[in-house]
Amino acid sequence: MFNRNEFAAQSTRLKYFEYFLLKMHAFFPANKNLYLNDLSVLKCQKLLFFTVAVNTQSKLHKSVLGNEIFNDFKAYQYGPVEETIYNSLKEQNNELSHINLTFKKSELKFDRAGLQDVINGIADSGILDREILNLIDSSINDLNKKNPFLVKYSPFNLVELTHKWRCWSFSYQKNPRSPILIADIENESMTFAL
Amino acid sequence: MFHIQKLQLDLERFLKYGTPYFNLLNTFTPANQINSFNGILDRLFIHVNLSILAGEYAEDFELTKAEIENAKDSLSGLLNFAEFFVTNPLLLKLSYNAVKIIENSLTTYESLTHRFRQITHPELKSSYLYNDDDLSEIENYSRSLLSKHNKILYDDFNPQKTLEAYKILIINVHLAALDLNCKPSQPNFHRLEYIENTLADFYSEPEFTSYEFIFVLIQKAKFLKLKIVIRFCQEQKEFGSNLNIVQNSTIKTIQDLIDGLEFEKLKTLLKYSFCHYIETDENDLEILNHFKASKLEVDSYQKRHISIKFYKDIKPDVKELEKVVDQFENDVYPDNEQFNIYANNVCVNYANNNLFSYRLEHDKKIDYEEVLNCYSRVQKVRNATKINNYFPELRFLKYLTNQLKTLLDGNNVIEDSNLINIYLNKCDELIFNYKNNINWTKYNHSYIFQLPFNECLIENRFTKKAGLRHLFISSSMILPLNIDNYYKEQESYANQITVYNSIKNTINNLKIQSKKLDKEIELNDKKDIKFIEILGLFCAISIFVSASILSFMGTQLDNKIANISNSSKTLRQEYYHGTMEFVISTGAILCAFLGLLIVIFNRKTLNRGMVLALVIMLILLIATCNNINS
Repeated sequence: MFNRNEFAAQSTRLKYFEYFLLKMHAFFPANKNLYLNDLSVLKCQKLLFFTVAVNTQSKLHKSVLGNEIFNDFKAYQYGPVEETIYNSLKEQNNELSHINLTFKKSELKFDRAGLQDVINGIADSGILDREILNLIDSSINDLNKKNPFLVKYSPFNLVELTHKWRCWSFSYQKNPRSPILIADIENESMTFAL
Repeated sequence: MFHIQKLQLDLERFLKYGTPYFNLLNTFTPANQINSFNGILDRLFIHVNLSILAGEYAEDFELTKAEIENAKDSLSGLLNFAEFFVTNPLLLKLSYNAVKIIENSLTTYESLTHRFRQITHPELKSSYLYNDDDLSEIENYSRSLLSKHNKILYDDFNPQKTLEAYKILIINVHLAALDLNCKPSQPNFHRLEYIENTLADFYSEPEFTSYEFIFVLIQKAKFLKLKIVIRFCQEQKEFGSNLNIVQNSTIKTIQDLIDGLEFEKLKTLLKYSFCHYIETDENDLEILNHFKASKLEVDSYQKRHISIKFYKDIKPDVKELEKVVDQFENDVYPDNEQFNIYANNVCVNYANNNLFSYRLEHDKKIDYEEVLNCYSRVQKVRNATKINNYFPELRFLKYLTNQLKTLLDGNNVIEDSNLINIYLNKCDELIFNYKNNINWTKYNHSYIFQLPFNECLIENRFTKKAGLRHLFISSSMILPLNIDNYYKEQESYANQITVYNSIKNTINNLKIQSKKLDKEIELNDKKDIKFIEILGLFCAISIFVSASILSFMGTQLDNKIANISNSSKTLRQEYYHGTMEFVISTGAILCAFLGLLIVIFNRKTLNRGMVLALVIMLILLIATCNNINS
């Protein structure tokens, strides 16, 4: 169930990231008490990037996520990585208040059946800005409309897809791990499918 | 341990010892880093190839599938690991390339497992129709993956080698696919010949010295190619000629080519199929020798295959055939041995089809009812096993068309027309089923007999040298079906049946006409009786009249003669004149009457005019008599 104290103890960005991650988990339904997902560290980073990119196209609250919350994307070899989130996670061994991230998947610290309760718990706790949470929700929905299969893409395909984005190759060619500017993302002719 | 498990184990090891390994790699020169990665890649690549050659997907489908999934997971783990822990840009690129190539290889392997599943689970009506052309689909898919490699390969790997290694994997998948479902066509023959030559080139390259399995692959390609050649030979034999192959400008017989194989077991299998499929006295003798001196296990499927051939064609014995059918039907395999269950299903059909065919050919006393019973039994087997082969229809059609021919050539065509109708209705139904089942077979079924997994394995010094657990040859001694021939046969039966149907319609018309004719004859017979009645009556009246006149004339004559003798000569002359008139007029009327009768008989009709004429004649006759009397 929702663990308020542990959740509140994290940095604000990680809180939003954890909320985003829990919302991603909702795309992987539990089947006969068996819960399978492949939301690895790498995959979450790529999906986060696409969600932020979709937000730059919304009419209301344009680029709010990219400007205010997840504003530290760098061009890594395998595509964009939100470095602040990545470093914070690394420091705490890829462990969040409700999720453990690994290289192959992420493990929920609670029963999968309670996923929606935890998401509601975070939303109703008053710890995070409700408007930003709504913005994450709507961006995920928009992304899902663009390509409903994107969440199920293998990490290889996600890497390949990000390599098609000019904002990544532009920054990467300049210098590996150099920042990807939000303005470049806004001007990207975005592709969400291989 | 399965080769695919070894791959997974290797990947896990990399993941586990990733940090020290990359730390170690960091101390290498770039050239050595690349070499090191090439070595790893070779090792992983060989695992994938060996897993396909050993038929692990057939040995334990679920396990292999799960291990492929696990390996893919591990690869994604390695990708994650590299992204976050490897800082050296060259090593990052190398890692990505290596991981991506192995991932592509596994995807190619997966396409084979899908194909395998489609073939061994005929009950799963998949939307994918894997047929011969699908090989090119796999090829194209793999090529599109390869083109992605080209983009990422930069100068780090030896791109040529990687591409070639990938080609070897595709060839491996192709050969496995052809071993599962193959059309003995010229394009496939050339494809296999091309594969054989390409592999021979790779095998001689120094870069592939560690790829010992290529030699095994070459043998497999040769073996599959020779099967197609034997099928060609069989087709040529039907025209009474032998087939020789021109290879490197020399003419070779099929036996030369078989002897060119390095694997003894493959040679034995091919020699056996040659004897089985090409029916000559020598080959029958060979089968007999195989049967007698067979060192095979008593209950092996291969032994049962020989038994069926022996008891059906060489020494016909229905009891023994039934025994073999029972043996197949009594085999039970656990649920997880899906390949063996499939093999058993195929063989149960094969044995039952042969029994059915035997009965139709050898059992002279068999009646139609019994044939129907046998057919429904075969159908039941087919429905239960979902192996929708077309052989029962083919045999039944052959039987029925022969029966129809005999009936139509016979003298009792009209009497037999009901039976002809029944046969032809059945033929229409059979043709429909035959067509459907050929279509099914085209996509799902190339080999009409299937050995269980453990009988499909080959182990020898070459497989050992390649590090291979065993070589899996699923099609064993069975030649692939040439489905086109059966389409032609279907067409020819359909034509024959159309002709028979039109003959049947003609017979039915004739039958209707003949019935009509019979009715008319009956009706005419009745009319004749009526004429005879009328004639009888007329004759009776005329005889009565004549008789009464004659008797009257007799008494008159006596009186008149008495009188005349006393009377004058003139009177006597008058009397004789009157008598003459009477005789002449009666005669004339009777002649006219007879004329009328002839007309009536010829026309076989009686109209009013004629009746009137008869009556007038009667009145005239009476009038004449009266005239005489007076």
